[in-house]
Amino acid sequence: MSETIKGYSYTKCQSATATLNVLLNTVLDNAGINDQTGKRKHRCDILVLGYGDSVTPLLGTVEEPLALPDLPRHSLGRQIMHIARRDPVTRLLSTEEVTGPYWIKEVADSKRTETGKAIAKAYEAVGRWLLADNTRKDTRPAPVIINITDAQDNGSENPVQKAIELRQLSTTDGHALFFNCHLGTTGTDGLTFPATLNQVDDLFELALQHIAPTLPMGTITRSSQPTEDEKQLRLEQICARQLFEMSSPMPDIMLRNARRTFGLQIEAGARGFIYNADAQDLINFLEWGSLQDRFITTASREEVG
Amino acid sequence: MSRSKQQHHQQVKTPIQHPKEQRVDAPSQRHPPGNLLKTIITWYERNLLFFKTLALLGTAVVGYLVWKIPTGRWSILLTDTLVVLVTLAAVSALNGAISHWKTLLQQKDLLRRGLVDMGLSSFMLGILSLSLGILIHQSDKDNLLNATLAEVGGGISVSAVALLVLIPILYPKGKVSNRQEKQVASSIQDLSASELSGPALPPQPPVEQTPDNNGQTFSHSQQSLAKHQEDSERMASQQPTPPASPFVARGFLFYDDPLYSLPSAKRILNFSGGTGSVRFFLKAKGEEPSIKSEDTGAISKDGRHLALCDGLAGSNLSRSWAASLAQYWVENPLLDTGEKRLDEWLKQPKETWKTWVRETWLSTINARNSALSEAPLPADYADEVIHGGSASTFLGIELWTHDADEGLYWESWAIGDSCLYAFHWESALQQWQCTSQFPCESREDFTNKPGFISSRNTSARKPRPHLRKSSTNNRSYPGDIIIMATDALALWLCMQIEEQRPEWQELLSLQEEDQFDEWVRHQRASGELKNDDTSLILIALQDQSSWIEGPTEGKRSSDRDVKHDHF
Repeated sequence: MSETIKGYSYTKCQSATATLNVLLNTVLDNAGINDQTGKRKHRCDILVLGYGDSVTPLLGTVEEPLALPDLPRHSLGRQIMHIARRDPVTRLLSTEEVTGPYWIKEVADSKRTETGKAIAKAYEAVGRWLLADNTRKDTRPAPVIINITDAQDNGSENPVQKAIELRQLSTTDGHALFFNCHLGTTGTDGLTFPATLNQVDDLFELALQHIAPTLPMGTITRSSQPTEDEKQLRLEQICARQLFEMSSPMPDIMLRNARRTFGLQIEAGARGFIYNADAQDLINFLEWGSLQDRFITTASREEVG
Repeated sequence: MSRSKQQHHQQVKTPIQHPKEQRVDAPSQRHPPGNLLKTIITWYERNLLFFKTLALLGTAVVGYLVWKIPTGRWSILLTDTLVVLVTLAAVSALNGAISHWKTLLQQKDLLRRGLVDMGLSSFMLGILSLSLGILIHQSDKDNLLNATLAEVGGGISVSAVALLVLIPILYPKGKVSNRQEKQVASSIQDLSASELSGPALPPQPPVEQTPDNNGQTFSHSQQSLAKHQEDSERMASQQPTPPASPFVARGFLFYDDPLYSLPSAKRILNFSGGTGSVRFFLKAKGEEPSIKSEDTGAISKDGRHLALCDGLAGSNLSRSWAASLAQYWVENPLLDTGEKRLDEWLKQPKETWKTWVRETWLSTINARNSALSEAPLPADYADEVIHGGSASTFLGIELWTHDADEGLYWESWAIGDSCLYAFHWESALQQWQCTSQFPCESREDFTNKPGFISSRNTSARKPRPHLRKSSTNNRSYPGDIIIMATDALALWLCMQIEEQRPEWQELLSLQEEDQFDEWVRHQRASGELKNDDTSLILIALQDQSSWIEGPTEGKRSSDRDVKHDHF
């Protein structure tokens, strides 16, 4: 996550952190004030885990979901946010500078990416959360887990197996939804909400054709030994396939929201997975995945006070 | 789905600035000029005590100088200054007294604050008496009455200072100091555990791969989860039992607040063609008490105007905003759909709500926080809440009759997805016909983004909300039914009508709140009705052979809940 995001001058980690902080602010704003407590309404519980060599909670110090009303008192300080919002009616953009709390600081100094362990931690946290209150299983919507990664998994656990276990958790509303957003620096095009593994493979086959030498009549040939670029693409393909298999198919209501948010035709059965995303995709992804009403289109931050 | 770079860039993009590349604007740019006055006022209000003290000390010093410099030009100047300061002190004292009595009368603030105001006011009056005594003493040194006035004034001032000194000792910060705080202290013990701090989660042991009962791999130890569950239950069972009191029985704040009041469960209408009944039912989401519902309703004193509002969950304090709208509309109905008329009409409910937030809600929450030893909310928090705004759907109906006609005329106005349905019994077909459906006419009209009325001032650049009006001069006859419902029940009714199903007729036999609660529970359990706040106003016009009261005669609500309206 320490690499510069494509097309911009800041790292993927900085982009993800700024966007997450704005998202948390938005979730708070959309919760409304509880008239009985003066705090925000308890509309959801949130857990943010960071992972690299190890898995660490980023909201507070415990690996337990934090109730939304308690979120303000866990902030690390205040920040200036530059937020562009698209008016849902007029579709016009307006940018404003607002000051608000932030919770998450960027950390990207690890050598390993323990995706499997992170998913296992999420599984444990969601499992405990479900069992901690008997009514949650019957009354709460299905938990949503969003993984933001650069897909360079080299951890000790099998992330696909862990993801399948995570998706087995459920409430009466349905199974837990696990979505994946891959922040890209690769040379391939992006892939948004694929429905089949073939779509993932097609993306890389196309990229391989671009780097292969082309004969005059337009036919494509390859040397017996793959080049370094080809090897790299094959590795990335493995990662993309892995993320696809980890991701949940999208429920109908989310499918509709995704079509609206991304402005794309997305077929039924599509997975909650976006590959080789840039900052804009990430924001759209989080907006869509968390079903927010507001359309944040950019986010950046700097600390104040 | 492959997404090419060209397609990718078709989306609107604004680059994210790197934190180091950003420039913090100058303070004057971040704070528009309009906010400067507000900042000064806020600063003045926060330091009011300091200014009061400064004025009193100035008065005392000048008074002392007047006393010590009995003659000469300086004496005249100082005397004039003293008169000005004494006048200011008198105005301030009057202001303090009014504020003090307002506080006591409304029972909305701490006794501590009331005593402080009283002490300051007394001190000012004492200084006033002392100064007047000194002034008159300058012109008539033989007048014993003036000397006495000065002595009494001095005595009052000293007593007031003593009172001000004693207040922090008698009523330290956080101490429950008046009846309201005691009530709040009791009530908060009855709040659900989810609102207060629940039992802490124990640290989890390392996870092991164990199969669960269904043979699925469950990487987290079921035993540890079960143990945690047991611990949670055990800790929950150790929570102290709240003491019994009427406030605890009610359980929540604002239960007696006018903005949280609901219409009578049942009212009788008398009109030229017969009589009718109006029944109001409300069942909050899940098993929450009705005070936590964001739905509310109101019926005018003469029974001719009825309103139903559904506060939007994502907005601030939406129940009170919804009530402000409903209660104001039934007594001052807006029978116009123009945007400007709505803006004008909204001024009063907006003012009602803002005043309530500032004067009632904030002080009550702070009394709660004080009782819980939680930090008080800052004074400008109310302004933040107001700025954040509230929103509610709206549905209103006006009923009237013509002398020569039988039946009841009605018109309706709405914003959002709270809906009205009118039914007429077709004798020939022996079935109910839905004669009017307003404003949502099909299930597709129910979205997760309904129209609403906002408490915020609407920008001229944005589309402004406007009331929709039903067709004019609708007429219902004895035996007909008019139903007003918020979105969950309205959608259910809409689907019943579209699918020509008869279950909705069960609503007609509901007389008691318990019956409605049970009916809603049943529908929610069957998955037919969304688990959301559900409210209903049912207007049933009856004739001699009416089924309305027949099947459930004798099961009416108590007379306490029945009112009669004639028009």
